[in-house]
Amino acid sequence: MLSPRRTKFRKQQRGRMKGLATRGSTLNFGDFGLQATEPSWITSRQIEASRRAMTRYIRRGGKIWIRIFPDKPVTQRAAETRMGSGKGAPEFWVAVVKPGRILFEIAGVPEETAKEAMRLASFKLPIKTKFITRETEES
Amino acid sequence: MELSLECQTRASNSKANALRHSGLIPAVLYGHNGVESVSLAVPAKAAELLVRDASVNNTLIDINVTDLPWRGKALLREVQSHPWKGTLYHLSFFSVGSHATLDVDVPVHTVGEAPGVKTGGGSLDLQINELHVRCAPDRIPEVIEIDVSGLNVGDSLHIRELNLPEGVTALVEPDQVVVTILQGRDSGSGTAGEEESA
Repeated sequence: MLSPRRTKFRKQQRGRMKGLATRGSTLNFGDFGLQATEPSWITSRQIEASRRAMTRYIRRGGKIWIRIFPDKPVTQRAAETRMGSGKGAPEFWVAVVKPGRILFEIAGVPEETAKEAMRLASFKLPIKTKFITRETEES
Repeated sequence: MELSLECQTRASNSKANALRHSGLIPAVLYGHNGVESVSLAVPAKAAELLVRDASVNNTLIDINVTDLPWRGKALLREVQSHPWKGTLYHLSFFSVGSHATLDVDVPVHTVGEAPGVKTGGGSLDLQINELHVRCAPDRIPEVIEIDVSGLNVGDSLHIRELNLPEGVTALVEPDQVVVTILQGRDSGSGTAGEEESA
């Protein structure tokens, strides 16, 4: 699963997910992409599950790009502990995704294959997504 | 491709959002009179049809500004739109009338089937989707076709090896790779299994 090799600080504040994606909202590598239409945190497990779903479907040929990286640590308090005594321990990593962000890109496969692979990948994600191609993006 | 657009000038104090609500898209035209630019309002429907048919920084559009004594050809330089809804925010047009040469982006398409993909199990990796070229306004190619029928696994084509149309020069490094045939995932040693279990 994706996670940073090392970080400057172990814990982060949660932040907010206002607005739209200003970066990473156009296809840059592949011919087809999966675009987020809602804001959310995407965990490294969800990214990995989506990647596996796509890889299994397209089998051979094609190339996949993951355009998001989970670099935000999420902490959780241990079960049945009293409030106080500081922030919980880091449990998993998430990528902060805003509407418009391209999540994955595919190249080297026919459009139908890419569409089905992206559909399977979208089932592993907590948000609504949209399949885009280079042609639909330009128009 | 010949495209035309009828539009009108926009008052400098008009609000862009109010304009969009009234079915017009704000636009700007520059390059027609030195450094002077003119604010325009384009009907939303016409703008959508134009953006669907025209390529950014490639297609010449015949622009007629109804309340301005100017009519000429222009390039669609920039399209601003909603990141995922696709609704148009703003268009920029660049007049080409007074320019001998233009720097434009031309889409790159592959033709033929590479033996490295067909029989070698490789995958075609097109590293650039558009080529930045310089040419005369009347010689803008719609597309640059690259013949990949001679490429095997590991082979690549560079900018210097492209057959560009007459009067068109590429504005990128001649050594830049345009297309390469990568080794397929299952033709390597155990990479497919690694992909699944990783």
